[in-house]
Amino acid sequence: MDGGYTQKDVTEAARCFTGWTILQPQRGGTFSFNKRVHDDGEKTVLGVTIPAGGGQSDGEKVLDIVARNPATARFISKKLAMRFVADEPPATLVDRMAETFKKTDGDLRAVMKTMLESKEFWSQGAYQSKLKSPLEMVASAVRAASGEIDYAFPLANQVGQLGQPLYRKQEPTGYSNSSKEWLNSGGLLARMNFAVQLADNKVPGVKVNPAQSAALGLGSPEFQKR
Amino acid sequence: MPTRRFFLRNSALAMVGAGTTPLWLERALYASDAPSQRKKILVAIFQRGAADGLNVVVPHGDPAYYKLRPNISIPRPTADPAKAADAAIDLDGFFGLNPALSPLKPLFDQKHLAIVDAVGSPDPTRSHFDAQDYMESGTPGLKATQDGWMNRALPRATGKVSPVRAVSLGPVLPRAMRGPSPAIAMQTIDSFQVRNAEASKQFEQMYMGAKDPVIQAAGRDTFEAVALLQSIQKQQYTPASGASYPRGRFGQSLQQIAQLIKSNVGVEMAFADIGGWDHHVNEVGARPSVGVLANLLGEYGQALSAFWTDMGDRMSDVVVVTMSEFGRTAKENGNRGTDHGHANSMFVMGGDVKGGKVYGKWPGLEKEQLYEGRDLALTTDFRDVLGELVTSHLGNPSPKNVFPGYDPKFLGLV
Repeated sequence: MDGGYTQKDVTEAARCFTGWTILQPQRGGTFSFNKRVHDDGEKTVLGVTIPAGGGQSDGEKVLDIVARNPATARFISKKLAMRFVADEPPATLVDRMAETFKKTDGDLRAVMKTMLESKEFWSQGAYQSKLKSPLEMVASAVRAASGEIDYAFPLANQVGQLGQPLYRKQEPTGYSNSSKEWLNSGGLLARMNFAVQLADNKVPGVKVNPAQSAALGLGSPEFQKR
Repeated sequence: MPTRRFFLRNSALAMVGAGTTPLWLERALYASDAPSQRKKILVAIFQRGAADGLNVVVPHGDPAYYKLRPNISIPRPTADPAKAADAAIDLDGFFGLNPALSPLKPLFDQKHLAIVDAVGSPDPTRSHFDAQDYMESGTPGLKATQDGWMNRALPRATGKVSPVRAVSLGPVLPRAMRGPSPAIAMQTIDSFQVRNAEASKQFEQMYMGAKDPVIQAAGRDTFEAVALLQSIQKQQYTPASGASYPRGRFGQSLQQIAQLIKSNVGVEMAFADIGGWDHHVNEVGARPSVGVLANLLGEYGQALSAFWTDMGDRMSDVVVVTMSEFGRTAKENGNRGTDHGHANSMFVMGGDVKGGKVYGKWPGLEKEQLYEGRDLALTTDFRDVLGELVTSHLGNPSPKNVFPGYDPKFLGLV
């Protein structure tokens, strides 16, 4: 990772969280700290020493250390800018957002305000610069066609056909926020086919208003942008 | 009103004689190129999730392997028929195949399958995401690389270029194939069309006229490939020589790749992946021949073997290479599984491959021989394997451009 941490930091942080568990996860689950399986020795995470005997507070300290690390301010600011501005957001914007993050102790409202008031956010280049993800494409198509959903499973399947099987991403990072992930022939054809099926009322579980659903509109290049 | 493209398509035959063949038609005609023009083909397979190389290619000659894995090791090869199904299949007296890979043993014996061991990416990351990213970009440690090694490896096009020159089976184009050279992703050959002829024509017009140049280029690639694949879609495909692909996405992917190659539509590079290798828990079941690893390896081995059978003589043009982002810990964990490690193994299969041998230097599994005291150390860089295939098989003269900042050392695999 680019966050400036090592494998040692990973194992030390894991030691801090030993004993954190969930009670009856199948029934909703509540947090529980099991002291008996907690590693109570001294730990060092990102250069900060956590003294022995801290119990549950070890994990809480890790959260504080990570939240106040400058790499976190940059990481979260860049994620937000990638989501709302451009795949490769201007570094100057990310820097200003990270600065706000640090100054306000991680107030995301303030970070968003910095972004929304920036000239970069309102620039011509940022307008519709992103390709919708499959989930965004399917959801926006159903909304644009005034679709009424009886059961959503077939629609979720469609999202998978377009390349984003929900909750099935192998890596813990989740699906990419970059348009490149979605811009390929198979994905484009799947979008066009979905548009045709939806407009013809052939997607089970959802009924659209034919007057408001033009397959060509929903499958058009413009509709894929956001 | 008929569009210009519509007009061209309908007067295609007339155009051939006139010598002013439009580019898309030239590309479509690639399909009928003479067999002497057959190009070499590279098929890359990614095992996502970090396969446990030590239980795939078992170092049964190293006693440390059995000490580190008291519960989930694969037993030494045996002549006892009652126990053979749960023991490693010997390759060379030191290494053995997991018994679930028995379909691949004949290929090894016929010297068409080579194995490289203690191979991988030198980057120390144990993050699946980063390691896959590095292996697919071909630049370990460098996040900024925009394109993938397969895209850079495509030999410079001379004349006609097929729109399905580089093809990936799956819903998204993998990182390895992204880049300036056109490459396409498809779930199946059949689904690669707009299932409404009228809408297809109109969409084609819209995408060709799209204002965004990136979407326009993607649209152009798409509809050129659609036109080319139309003829294949009409044919019923039966694998040759009784080849039997396993159920599931991976077997289907390899079957589609075989069909594309045999249809002579100009495939030079293909990609497929198979996930589910992240076996932290219960990797091996009650016996070595059962459990999640055995099941997955069974599917994997049967698919590769079926591909070999189905392709027949055509394998003289093809090399299949497999990789996984990193290996797994040498020592088993407390849950009958293994955690994220370092070096792994790679398979190289093809008609012209110098197989029947396990390549690479074995670093040993004693504590002081392990990488960071826990993982199989790396003695061969994955770029040595891929670089050799790109150069000696595909004929790309500059592996250094495919793997920037690295000078691949060839092992003599092809």
